[in-house]
Amino acid sequence: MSYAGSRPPSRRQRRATPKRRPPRPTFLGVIGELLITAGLFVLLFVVWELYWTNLGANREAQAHRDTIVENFDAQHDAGFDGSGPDPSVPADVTTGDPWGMLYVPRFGSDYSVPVLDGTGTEIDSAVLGRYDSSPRPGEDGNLALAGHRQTYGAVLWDMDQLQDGDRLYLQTANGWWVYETRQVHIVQPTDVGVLAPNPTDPISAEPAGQWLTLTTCHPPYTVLERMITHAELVEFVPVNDGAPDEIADTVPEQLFEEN
Amino acid sequence: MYAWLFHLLPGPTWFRWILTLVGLAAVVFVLMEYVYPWVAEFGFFSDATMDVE
Repeated sequence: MSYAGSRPPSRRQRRATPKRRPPRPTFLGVIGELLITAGLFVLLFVVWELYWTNLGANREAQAHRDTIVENFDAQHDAGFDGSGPDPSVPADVTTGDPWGMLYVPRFGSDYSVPVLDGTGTEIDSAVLGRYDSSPRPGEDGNLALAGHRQTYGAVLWDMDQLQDGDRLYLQTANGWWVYETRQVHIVQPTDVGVLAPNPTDPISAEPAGQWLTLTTCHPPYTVLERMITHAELVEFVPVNDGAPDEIADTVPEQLFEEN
Repeated sequence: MYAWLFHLLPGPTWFRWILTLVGLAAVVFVLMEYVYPWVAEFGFFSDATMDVE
């Protein structure tokens, strides 16, 4: 017993000894660690923007597709032949249910994106949003839609692939409005002439034909410029005629039923 | 600072690690769901629309 103090500590004793305390944090140490934390937060923001937003956006876009499938049948007007404004589309930009689908074969055979009204947070879900100034399909003027380039579903990621003559199909409850690409160009964000009633002659306020304009950000991952597509209406295909050949395999089965 | 905070956590080491992971997950969740969407509204990283007005 007398030599107990010189024995190495038993397991139990070792456990009982208090842990070595870390040194008290110094002022500079705290600042440094907070700066490292801030850096990690910024990196995480990039992850959020490029990855997380796409997850939620694609989920919401699917919900919009379901709404369209539900609504199209009731909104269909069998008497409409493509002359005049499409009655299934709201006359003014309101924020409500999606009223259309855009198909662009150049962007892939499975490319179908819901179209709705508004260019604010409305487009933060893998959809295209109609600008306030826009008319309905079938109306003279410039129907402009905005979509994200690399976030929220990145619906216009491939806009630089579009070539003159490529067709864009805008489906409403009444049929397919078919536009042909005339110009893809890059402009300053302030160059709102691309939204003018006649995008080929922005100075004149008079519309000349029916145009579809798409706007997205450029270069990707920045907000420095905008990439713009102008397409001109070439024909209207009523729902009863069936989907145009080029997108026959893309249009969801439920939107393809003959009425 | 983080070493000091870790030292202040109660319980044995394995329990402190669990607390740490739970805390980290909570911070990431709040950032992803609330803070980043708010930051994104300032549109300095992704803006697809023309500067109308």
